[in-house]
Order: sequence, then structure tokens, then C-alpha cells
Amino acid sequence: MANIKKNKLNIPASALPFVNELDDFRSSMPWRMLRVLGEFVDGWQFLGDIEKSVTFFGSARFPENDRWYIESRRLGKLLSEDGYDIITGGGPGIMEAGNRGVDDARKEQTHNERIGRSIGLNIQLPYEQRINPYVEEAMGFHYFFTRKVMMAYSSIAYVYFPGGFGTLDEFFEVINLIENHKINPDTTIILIGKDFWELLLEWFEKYLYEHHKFIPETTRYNYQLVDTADEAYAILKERLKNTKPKRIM
Amino acid sequence: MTFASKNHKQSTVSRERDFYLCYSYNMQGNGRQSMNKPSYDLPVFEEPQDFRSSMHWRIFRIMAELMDGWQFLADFRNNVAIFGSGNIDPNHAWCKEAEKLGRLLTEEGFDVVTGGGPGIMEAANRGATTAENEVRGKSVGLNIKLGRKVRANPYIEKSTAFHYFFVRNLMMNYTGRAYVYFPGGLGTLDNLTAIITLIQTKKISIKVPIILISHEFWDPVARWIVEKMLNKYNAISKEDVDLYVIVDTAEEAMEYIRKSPIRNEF
Repeated sequence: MANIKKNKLNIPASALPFVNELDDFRSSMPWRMLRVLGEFVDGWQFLGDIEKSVTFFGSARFPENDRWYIESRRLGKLLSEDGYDIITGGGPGIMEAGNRGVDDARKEQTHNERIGRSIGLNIQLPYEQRINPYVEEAMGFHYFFTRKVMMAYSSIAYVYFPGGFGTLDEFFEVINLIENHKINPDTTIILIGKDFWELLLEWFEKYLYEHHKFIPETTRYNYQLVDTADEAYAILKERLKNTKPKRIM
Repeated sequence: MTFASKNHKQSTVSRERDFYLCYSYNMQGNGRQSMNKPSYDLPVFEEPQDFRSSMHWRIFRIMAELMDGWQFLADFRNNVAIFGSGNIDPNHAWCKEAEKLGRLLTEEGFDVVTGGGPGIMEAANRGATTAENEVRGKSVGLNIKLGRKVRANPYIEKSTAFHYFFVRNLMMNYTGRAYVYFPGGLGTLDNLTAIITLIQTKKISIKVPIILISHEFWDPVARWIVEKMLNKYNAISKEDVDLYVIVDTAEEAMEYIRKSPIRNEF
């Protein structure tokens, strides 16, 4: 392949140069293409039944007694008692807490009311496969971007706890998609943890909205900052009351 | 299976409603596992009015975009990706810097890949076309289709356009030898955090430099990352804050870019 001139591949198949199979077929480009497709089909097959769900993001490194772990667990419990499915990244920390909230709700279930499911969209990392024990239904992705598409795709509300770069990435991605009308602008976005997010949002105000006007000022109405699970729950309850179940994927 | 009922008239329901029914038949009391059946037992499925809105078609569309993207990018193996606001005055100092960086890069044989839009992207593409060498790198644009328009600046020599943001992001993240972020809005931030996450989780090589231009703009964010994320919340590791560097000029950025190894990810 190496000595074929660029742009010379636009020829009939009979005249194409002979290509050696790689040692391991899984590392070939066509196979990777199929793997990506496989993840999309699997992911949508998996998510196809979800009607109303809330996705939690946050650090994987918070221990059980951390304030944000406790808040996340509480929010997971409150929402799943209302029948919302809780989607997380399936990892430890905040994700585990969200899934664990569903578990708590199920333990306290007295009548036959519908409790949301606890769902984990997991990532397979080279050095760890980390799935928390409170996930009821899980799917593992190899590719970050397929996982992110599934995440950005499935929920009617997104909740961001304090977290690292992964959490930030998801936050920017979802507001960017809303900004460009690629996903429903009614999607609710809640940031939890004033101490953590405030400085970043100040920077947003100062540099992005006022000083340079890189993004339209209306973007700031797309997200809300609160401090506790109960505040978040109150907002979600109010906003989601009129939201149609998300069936159109 | 109750889906294709008599009351359902194609002509009277809106397309949206039509769609809703198509994809919700398995929810109507049949239970969640109802799709796990032999094919002769599956419910009758009606095509939506516009085949392009069906789920199947969208998967094919994603596949087509991925193929187009990789097919296109295979020719640009030695590229540097430049990001930045599309909504900035072309006479701003940052735009001048982007133009200079574009020129320096193509002079040394790197291809310049941008999002193909206005602002910083346009400045970088313009700079890339002004190098006076006989053999120079190309000015490449990976556009996004927003609504009905494709926004492409006039200085792109090779371009392709994507409907899906994530395919465009993926293509950007796939081959770049180095990543340069000028001040920018949500798209820039989205891509920056995506690439840091990929490096942090070792999905791509740790030797790919991430260069942020302008201390004035990026320093507050970097300070927030160190103060809150790292020190107070422990949400990242100490070595993660070394994954990016902040500089002020195109020349400083070039030093990091020259040191970067070629990506062999294809």
C-alpha cells in the first residue's frame, strides 16, 4: 500500500492493488468501522426501551462518605421513586452513588409503585473495567464517542456533580449540541455544587458572554446551578412535569 | 403488536406522531424484552413517511460519514488541528496569531486542519495558504452542516462536511499530531476536554501536545482546574494538569509541535 500514489484508489475493484491481511484482523480499519457500527446498533438496541431518564455525571473518585456522593445517592433515590430511569457511566464515585440511590428506593418500596431502572453505560479502559455493583442493566463501550453519543442521546435531563475532565467534556458537549439545535432545546441541565462550578461560570460570564461574545447570552438559560439534591429535584420535577417521554430518538 | 391499529391513519397524524407510534409499539404493554423474539414473531413495522427519519437510515448515515471522513483524512497524516472561536473580529490579535501559526505550519510541511468556519478557523486557513514554499502543507477544513447551510471559509483547499457533530469531533481527534486551541466558545471547549479525556484514559498517545494560546484567556480556567478539580476535590490526578501547556505566541506553539511524534493511528 505504501508506494501507491495518493488519490489513485478511485479505480475498479479488479484493478485495486493486492492488500495483505493484517496479523490480527481486529486491528484493520474495516473491522474497526464494523466495530463502531456494532456499538451503535448495540447501544440503540439497549436504549430503545428507555422512556424517561435522567443522566448523572461526576467524578469517579469520590468516596462513600463524600458530600457529593451522598447528594447523588439521594437524588438517585428521589428520581427513581418517581419512575425515572437513572443513567450513569457505570463507574465508581458519583456514578455509583446515582445507581445506589435506585437500589435504596427499591429496598424501601412498599407497594408496587414503579421504580426507575439503574442503568450503566460503561467504558472499557485499557487498564481497568470498572462497573459498580448497583447497576442493574449495563452496556460496555470500547469507543468513548459511541458512549458519549448514547449519553447525549437518551435523556430528558442531565445532572452534573463536581468532576474531572470527563464530566466537563459531557457538559460542554451537551450545551454545544443544544446551542446548535442538534438536540432538543428543552433538555434540562443542572449543575450541582456551587463551590465547584461557580468560578467556571464566572469565567463564562466574563470571557465568553460579555467580553468576547463567543457564545450567545441566551445559552446561560440552558443550565441552572444549585447546591443540593433537593433543590435539583424540585427543579427537575417542575420542568419534567410537562416534558413528553422521549420516544423519538 | 397493537400498533397497526385501525384508528391509525397515515394522512391525519403529523409526522412526529407517526414516528412516535413507530418506535413505541414495543412499549405498549408488551414488556421490555418483547424485541427478543424470532423474526416471524416480531410486530409488523410500518415505514415512517420519510425514510430518512428512520433509525436504520440514521445508522447508515453515520456509517457513511465515518467512511467519508476516514477516506478523506487518510491523505493528511501529518496534520495539526487548530480550534477557536468562529465569532471573533478578524482584526483581533488572536486572529493574527492564528494566521501566523497557519503559515508557519504549512511552511514546515504540516497540514492545517480546522473546523472550516469563520473567525480563528478562517484566519488559520488563510495563513496556511500564504506560505510561499514550493511544497507546502494543505489547508484543510472539516465543516459542520448547521441547519441548511454549510459554513465554509474561502481559504480551504480540501474540505468535507459532516452532519453529525460527533463524527466531526472524532475526525478531528483521530489524526492530529498536535492540537492548538485559541480562545473560543463551546465547540472549542468541548473538543479540548474531549481530547484531554482521551489522553488521560490512554485512548490516544500521551505524547500528543495540547497547546492553549493566550494566557489572558486560559489562565483563569487553568487556575480553576488546579484549585478546585485537583486540590480541593481530587477529581483528577496531579499529572493530568501537565497534559496541556499555555503559551502566548505562534512561535512558542511551533516549538512544541516540532517536538511531537507522528501519529500512527490509522
